[in-house]
Amino acid sequence: MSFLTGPMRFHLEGHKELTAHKDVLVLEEPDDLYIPLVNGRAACTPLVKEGDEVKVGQKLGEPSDGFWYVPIFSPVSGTVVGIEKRMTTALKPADHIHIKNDHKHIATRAFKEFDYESASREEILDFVKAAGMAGLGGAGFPTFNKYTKPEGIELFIVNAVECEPYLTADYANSMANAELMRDGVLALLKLSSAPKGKIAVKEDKKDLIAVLHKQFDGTPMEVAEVPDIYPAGWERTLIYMLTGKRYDRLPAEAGCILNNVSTAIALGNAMKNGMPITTKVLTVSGDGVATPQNVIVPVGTPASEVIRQCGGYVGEDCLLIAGGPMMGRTIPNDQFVIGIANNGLTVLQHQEEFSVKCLRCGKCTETCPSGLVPVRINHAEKTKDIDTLKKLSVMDCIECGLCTYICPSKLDVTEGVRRAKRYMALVK
Amino acid sequence: MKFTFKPSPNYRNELSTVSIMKDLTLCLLAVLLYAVIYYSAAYGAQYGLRVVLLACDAVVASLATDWVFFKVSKKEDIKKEIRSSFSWVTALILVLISRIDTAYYAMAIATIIAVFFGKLVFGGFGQNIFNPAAFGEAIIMSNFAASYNTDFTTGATPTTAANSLGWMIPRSEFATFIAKFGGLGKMFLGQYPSTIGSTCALLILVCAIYLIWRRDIDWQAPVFYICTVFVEALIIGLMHGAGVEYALFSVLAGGVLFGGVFMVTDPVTTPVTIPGRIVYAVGAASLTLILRDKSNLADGVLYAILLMNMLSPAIDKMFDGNQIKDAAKFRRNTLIAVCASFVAALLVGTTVKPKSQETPAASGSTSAPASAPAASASVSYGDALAMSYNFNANKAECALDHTDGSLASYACSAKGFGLVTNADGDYSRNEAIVTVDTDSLTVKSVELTSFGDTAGVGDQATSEAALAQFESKGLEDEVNLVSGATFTTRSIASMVQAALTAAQSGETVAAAPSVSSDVNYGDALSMSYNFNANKAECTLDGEDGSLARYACTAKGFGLVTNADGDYSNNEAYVTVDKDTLTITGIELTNFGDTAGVGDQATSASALAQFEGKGLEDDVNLVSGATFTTRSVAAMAQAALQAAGED
Repeated sequence: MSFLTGPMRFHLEGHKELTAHKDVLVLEEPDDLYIPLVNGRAACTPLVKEGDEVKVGQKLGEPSDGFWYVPIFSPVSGTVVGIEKRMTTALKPADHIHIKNDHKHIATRAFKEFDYESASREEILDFVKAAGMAGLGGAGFPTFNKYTKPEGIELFIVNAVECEPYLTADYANSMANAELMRDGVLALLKLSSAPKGKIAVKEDKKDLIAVLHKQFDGTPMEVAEVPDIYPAGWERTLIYMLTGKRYDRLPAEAGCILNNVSTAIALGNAMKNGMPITTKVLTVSGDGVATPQNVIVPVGTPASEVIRQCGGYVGEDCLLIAGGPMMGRTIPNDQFVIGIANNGLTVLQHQEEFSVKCLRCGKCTETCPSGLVPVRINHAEKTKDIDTLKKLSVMDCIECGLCTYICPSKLDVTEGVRRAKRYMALVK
Repeated sequence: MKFTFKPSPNYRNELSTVSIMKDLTLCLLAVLLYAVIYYSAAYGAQYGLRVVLLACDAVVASLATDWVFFKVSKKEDIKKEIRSSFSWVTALILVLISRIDTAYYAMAIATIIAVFFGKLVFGGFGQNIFNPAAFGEAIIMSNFAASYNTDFTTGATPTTAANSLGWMIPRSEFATFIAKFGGLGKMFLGQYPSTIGSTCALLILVCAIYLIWRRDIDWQAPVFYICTVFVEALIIGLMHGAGVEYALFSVLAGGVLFGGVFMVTDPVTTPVTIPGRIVYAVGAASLTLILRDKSNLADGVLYAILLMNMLSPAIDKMFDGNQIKDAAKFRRNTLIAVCASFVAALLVGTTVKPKSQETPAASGSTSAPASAPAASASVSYGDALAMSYNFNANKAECALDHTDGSLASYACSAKGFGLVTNADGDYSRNEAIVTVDTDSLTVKSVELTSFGDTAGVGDQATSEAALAQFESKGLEDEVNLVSGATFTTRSIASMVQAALTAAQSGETVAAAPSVSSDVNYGDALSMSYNFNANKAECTLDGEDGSLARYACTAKGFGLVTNADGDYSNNEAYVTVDKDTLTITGIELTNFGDTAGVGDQATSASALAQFEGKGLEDDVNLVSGATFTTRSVAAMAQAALQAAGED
């Protein structure tokens, strides 16, 4: 941000009041669950077969990829019905393990109790990897991978910003599990080897800030309040706000490691209770669902079941979004299941926008957090002007959606940039 | 249940182009409303009504253009297309940057051209290169200059007044200059004539704050534009002995504020990045001052914007890249471009020559009513009326009556209220003797000899006090309209103007025999010379016994040589004695050649040499005015030939 650029961010109407202060509903477990045999990019090899009895916390799949290593655990006890192809939230077909729930909650302790204070850095790293910890902010990136090279890390950042509109899952999760969060955060701080850390939270969440002070005052973790803007939770924007540094590819270049607060809570739970990620705190919100609220659901629950228990849909034509409305994908049916990286379902009544031609107002340029000129990218994409597209550093786009959000002509600006990215990837 | 698929994001800001245009329309209507109130209060209800009618005229023309275009291009939903074409905004801006005396048909045609050629042919809203309103106004200025409705006059505007002084008013003369417009404070509040929308600075600034607050426009373009005009005018002014008040005047006068808020901010025709907009605004500001200083336009805002519109794509290219990674390049490009436009404006500014110092008569002329305070007591004056005003409607005519030393008295007549407006009633031309001092080209006295307008109304303008205000006025000066008798004031002023013009073009030389000795004669010119190039033509105008008077016309220097400049045919009455086929007199009625050069050949003594000459005789070429001599001789020849044929 400087004199010659816009603010590169924007305050969005969050609609968080729809869900933030309601009680978190524990959903009735469904009879049938479908556990995706894929996390991120790597598929898992199933460890169970049809007819096997499984318990809560039992490992179901072992990743074949050492880098993208996120093993899969059973969220319920019951019987394996088989392996079925279903569509994931990435809109791709993938194998899912179908489990018939016996509602008996027979659990097996997946891991032994783990004391991060006495453990060595390597031991913590191994634990994080074995427990299937992944970035729960939405990306699902294996957590251990961030910590393999701790050299030069000066600041460990916990991201409790949750800048996506409608979503309050991280907030509700943090408020409910403050102690697990504390353990998870301090374990990750130790793992990062950073001398100090910051836990970033939006300045308007006063009650959460109080909880964080209570948990972290006296530790090397400092509570950092950030403004209520989008995308405050994007790592580049967050690191820039906290340190004033920009970087090219990875946060480590700026001496930082980031993790989502829900990841820390999941780690705290794994260390204390010996359980992997079997349930998710999920925000169900929007004007297309009868009762917006935060819910706790077992991983593998179909979205249709979640919506049904939240009172069903409102209206006849809706946008069902896995995640928040800015970066979440619309899914053309509600048969997909909740995976470990899902943190919200936003249901919006579909209304046609009255769009007019681009008036070249440049608002997309002023708000783009990556510093791009989306209006020019869209124009160059239409004419397939490769040289200009290269100059416009199209590939720096993170598809945060701010350019479409801000566009007064109601054009799909982000989609145009996406097309440009796909085109550039093709011609390269 | 239907699940619709749409690519992310599925979340929209409330601000829409439709709401931006709504706000813009609101602000433009506010400015228009102010103009209606101001013109009604200052000039009468018919002026306010005219503003309203011009606006309706333009808006209807714009919507009709849209409708026809979309109908012809077979759009399905014409209403929706018109709704997203926003042509009424173009129409409103066009009205607000026009003069109140713009003819209705000119306004309609300009709107149609602005909307069609300025916008629709480029692909409609968002695709046009030029600001369509500026485009339309340029059409009016370049093609309909003669169409201005002379019934609606408002006196000199600050820009034309400043332009006549070369856009430079030294500190010593500023107070008298600005007094004409009621001071800077009155200009700020908008109590002065200008283009319809460019009067109230305060209101325009309020609109700017509203639009910025609503995020309809960004602050960079107007702030950089207005501040650059101020700073550059300040520096240029200081170079020539003007002060801060001159810089303030430069911002308040003309279209700087209106253009800065409503046109420099037009997103469609400006660059898309913030540094691009800064470069654009600074460039437009510099061009505004350069055009004011150096072009013959009264105000440079319009063309500055049109010129910068052409540079927008290039400026966009300058700032293609990643604003974070290429920040250094962006800074460098901005700095270079801003410095370049500053240097250009200041370099041009150093060459400005204040004209007021060359014509001291102009500066002393500003307070006409004040100069005759005792006499003016019974007459109330309205707005200023420039003596250089276009009085076409009055059809004033003057003939030299007699001379006395440097004083020349002209018998003049001109149409007054009744004849100009074709009112029912018994009206006749006003007539007056206008005495002009031919040395200083100023009026000595005006004496009314016949009053043809409404008694009890128009004669307020013929009172001694009212006539006294013309005394010592020249063509660059101004008088004041007499309230309630504006038509008669204009009628008298038109006669004064005609007399001054006649005096200027040298007719008075006839009465000053001493001048004729200055004429030097060169070679002999045979009256039977082949004057083909002059294309002389004569028509019989009247006969009196053996004398026949021919109205003749012939090309002079400018038209024969196709020289650059404002030349016309020379015209003369040539009287021929048909019995002897010799010339008895030549009276020049129109001089179309170079004043001060060719007119040596039209002096009384030079014309006298034709007397008694027939086709076989010779006259002498006037040295330095050979073309004009030949032009006159050509007319004489044509008249003699015509007389011979009868």
